[in-house]
Amino acid sequence: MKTQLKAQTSTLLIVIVIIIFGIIGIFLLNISRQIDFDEYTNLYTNNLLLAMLRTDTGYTDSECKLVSDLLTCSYFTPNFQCGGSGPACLDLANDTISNYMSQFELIRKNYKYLFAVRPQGFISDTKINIGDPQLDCDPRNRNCPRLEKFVATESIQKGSYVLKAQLIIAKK
Amino acid sequence: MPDQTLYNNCRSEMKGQGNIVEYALLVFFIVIIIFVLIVFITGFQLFQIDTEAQKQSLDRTLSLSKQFMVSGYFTNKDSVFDDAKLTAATGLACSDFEKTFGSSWFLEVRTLDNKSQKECSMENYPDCNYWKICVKNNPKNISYIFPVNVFSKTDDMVSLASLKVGIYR
Repeated sequence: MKTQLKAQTSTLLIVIVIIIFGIIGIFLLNISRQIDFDEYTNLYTNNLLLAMLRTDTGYTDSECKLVSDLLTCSYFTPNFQCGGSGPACLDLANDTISNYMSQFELIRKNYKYLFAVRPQGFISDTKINIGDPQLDCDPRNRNCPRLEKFVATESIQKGSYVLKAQLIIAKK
Repeated sequence: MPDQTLYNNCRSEMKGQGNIVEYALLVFFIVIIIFVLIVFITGFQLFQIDTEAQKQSLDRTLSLSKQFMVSGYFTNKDSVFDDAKLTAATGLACSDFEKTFGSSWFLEVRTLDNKSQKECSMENYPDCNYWKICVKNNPKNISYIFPVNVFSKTDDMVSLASLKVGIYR
């Protein structure tokens, strides 16, 4: 009788311990479940790209007025000098975009970025990459670091040509 | 023989006492475990409520940010804020916006022009670069920052700016 009671007590204790462990497990799982900031980061990336493209560069000639003009100029006529004797389009695009990106604390401190311009609807080998070129690597490539990327895309039209401007950001 | 009987009686009494102590201890531990469980589950519930409240606040902030970025009160087109509209809005009371955007929010716009921050009002416009609407001296708030543009009517220029939208808790 005594042995039977002892066995029952032990079983009860084991069940209670299992319940406690289960609750601890659920609790820890919940702590590790963080609030999802992906929606914010996506909106941030899209806004950043759009805001950059719309910003005035300070030059008045039509090839260099806005950042989007500057990128088109850099793509088709990279050596065009803004303001008559000013910097070449491509150099100015590099400086302007790097400068603008560094103004945002979130990007400066936590993210690396790549500002890429590619042809859309026509074939050309020309590519413009400003920022970290590693972010453009093929994910099937073994050397390509596995990063969670946020990508924003906009089209820039110049006459009958359309360029694809892409901003890729990933955590440092 | 009587000694043996006395011994046996005494032994069974001791056994009974031992069992009582054993049960008392068992009940005591079970009560403690139940108490710990109650504390644990309450803590868990409180944690969940807090997380949910935080999530709700962040969702509202994000939703307000999207509203402000397209609102005709402040912008010309999507995410391009008009400096004249912003300046006019700084002269209005918070209650004027409550019907549209609700209460307990704030909005700040700062052009990223590498100049020192100068708050805009009807008096110093357009010689300024920072607008604040419904900003209270309350440190308990959560906010999001977004890149946007500010269109300056006087210079006919679009500048890069940062928009900070938050809610007070």
